[in-house]
Amino acid sequence: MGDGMTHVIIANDLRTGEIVYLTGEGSWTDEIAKARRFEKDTPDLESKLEEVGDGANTVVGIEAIALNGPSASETPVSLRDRIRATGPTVRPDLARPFPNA
Amino acid sequence: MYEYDTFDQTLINQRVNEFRDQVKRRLSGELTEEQFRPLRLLNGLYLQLHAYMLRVAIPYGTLSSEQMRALAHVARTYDKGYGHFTTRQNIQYNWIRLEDAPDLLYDLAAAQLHGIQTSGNVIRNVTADHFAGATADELDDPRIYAELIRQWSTLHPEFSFLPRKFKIAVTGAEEDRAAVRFHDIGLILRRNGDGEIGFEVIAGGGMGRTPVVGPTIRKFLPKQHLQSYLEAILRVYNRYGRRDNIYKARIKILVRDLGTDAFTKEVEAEWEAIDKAHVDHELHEEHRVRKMFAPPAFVTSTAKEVPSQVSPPDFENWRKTNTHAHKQSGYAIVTVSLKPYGGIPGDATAEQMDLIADLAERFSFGEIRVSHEQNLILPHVEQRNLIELWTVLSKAGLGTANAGLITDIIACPGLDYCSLANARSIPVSQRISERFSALQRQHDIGELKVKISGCINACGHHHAGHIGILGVDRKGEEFYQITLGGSGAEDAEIGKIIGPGFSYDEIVDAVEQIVHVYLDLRQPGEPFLNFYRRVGAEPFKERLYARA
Repeated sequence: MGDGMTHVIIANDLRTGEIVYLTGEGSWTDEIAKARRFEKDTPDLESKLEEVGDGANTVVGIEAIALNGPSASETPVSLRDRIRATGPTVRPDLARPFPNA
Repeated sequence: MYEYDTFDQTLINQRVNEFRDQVKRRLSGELTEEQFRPLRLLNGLYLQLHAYMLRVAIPYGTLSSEQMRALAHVARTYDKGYGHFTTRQNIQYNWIRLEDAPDLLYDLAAAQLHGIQTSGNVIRNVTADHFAGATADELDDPRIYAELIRQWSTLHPEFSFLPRKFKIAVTGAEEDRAAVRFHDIGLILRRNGDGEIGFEVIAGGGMGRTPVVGPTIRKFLPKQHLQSYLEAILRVYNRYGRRDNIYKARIKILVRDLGTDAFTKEVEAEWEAIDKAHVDHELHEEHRVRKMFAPPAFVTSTAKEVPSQVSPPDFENWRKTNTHAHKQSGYAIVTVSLKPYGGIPGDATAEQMDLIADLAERFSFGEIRVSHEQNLILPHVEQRNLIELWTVLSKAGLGTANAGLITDIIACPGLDYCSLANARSIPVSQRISERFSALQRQHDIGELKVKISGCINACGHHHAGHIGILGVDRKGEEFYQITLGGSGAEDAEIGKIIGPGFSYDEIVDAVEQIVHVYLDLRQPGEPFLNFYRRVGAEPFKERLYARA
């Protein structure tokens, strides 16, 4: 993860499959703005990924994704993660709210 | 229509109960995700970008009205009101909740539907010509044999852990609408010199990162030996197929590496050793299945054409592209386009599914087919009812007159839904569809199959597209590689890459340039594919890359 970017941890909710993000309190939220930011180049992210992975019985598909910019409204770097955050680009009626959308 | 017997029904009912228990144990934490994942995949439940995705098998693409209503019910009750018909004649739901999955499968089982063998390294849902049992150019109904294969392959213990997934397609027609040469095994019904019916057997075809047009390994297999010969092929594959490299694990790689002759010798030797009487179907079982696919009670119509009033031009356009010759005089096969201009290929709302179910009951003996080209088929429509059918379809957004034309695009779900994808497919198809939506222009262009995949796995069949488009990720940007000259029909061919790829913004213009070259240089009446085969890639390259 030493790419110098801010990261958040993303997963799918086990029961519903919906996209969720890890908060600072260790819970999961569907709002990326409330996700805990992991600062660049810290071992914190790796250990947190391991920690939530080991105890996962509420989420699946846990991974870290990189964000652009330092503010709470930054967007995921990759198109794949932006689509996960906002929903299919071809179904605006199913879009998920996004802070700076 | 095939109807489950007690054995079939008991099997899927038991599977639902088993899965209900497995889900309960997963949600309670008794099963880890690592333990649970293969169990959910055995029932067609994937985890995709946004949610769980359920793939439901539609055996050989055949549905009853009642089954279509069950699919609508699932879309309405457990999803977001729609489903996606796929290039494998299946349907996928994109927004399934794990906690709902057992109830959903219970509801499907009541309609003789399930998700078994829609995932994993097993023999997948058998596909067939979507005009089966109706088309005029058919030797025999391939669904009879596809059903026998379904029964033989369902939970077959010897073939439950193959090196890789395995797909079988069957056709009985002269025109190959099932892309049989792009399957692990393709079967074409043939008649030999003695008038007996059997199969030409093709093995080792496929798409993906190594596209192969499958070679014929047996010109004629007596039909009574269908299962034993398939078993011989599967045994050779199971024994020699690679398990060390997922990219080299399909049977096409084995056939290529051994050579067709050596592979065939292995199969024939294995077949000789098989106790055929133990494996092959008994004639009475074939008769039992055949009865279920008996033609419906066609009426001998005196009004073979539409009523005498002048037909609207829009109807005539639709009839020209979306109906096909039926084996029964006075009837037509109708393709219901799931490709409205600018729409998502293969998507249908619950309301549209219900409507199709109703229309099938009114006009097509309650029968529906799903095509691998992501359209729906009403196989038995009296010609005198066509205009009434078209009127209803049009009001529901299902009357687009574009079957086989440039806007009848195959597209995989791509990066909008699929966790394997590198680029989006659907919005590219939507933009091409909108660009070419003028119907007169489409008719002027004629048959032109555009097929789009969002990754090299080729679920959008881009290798077989007259114009194929493959989405790739180049340093975080979507790029699209164009291939020309592919065909999934009886003249199967793999499209050739035309040159460097195009950006998301450029790709539609590039397709338009290709069409311009064709329109400018074609001979009168010359279809796009024939034109490409005559002139080659050079004129297209000159136009596409002239600015470079």
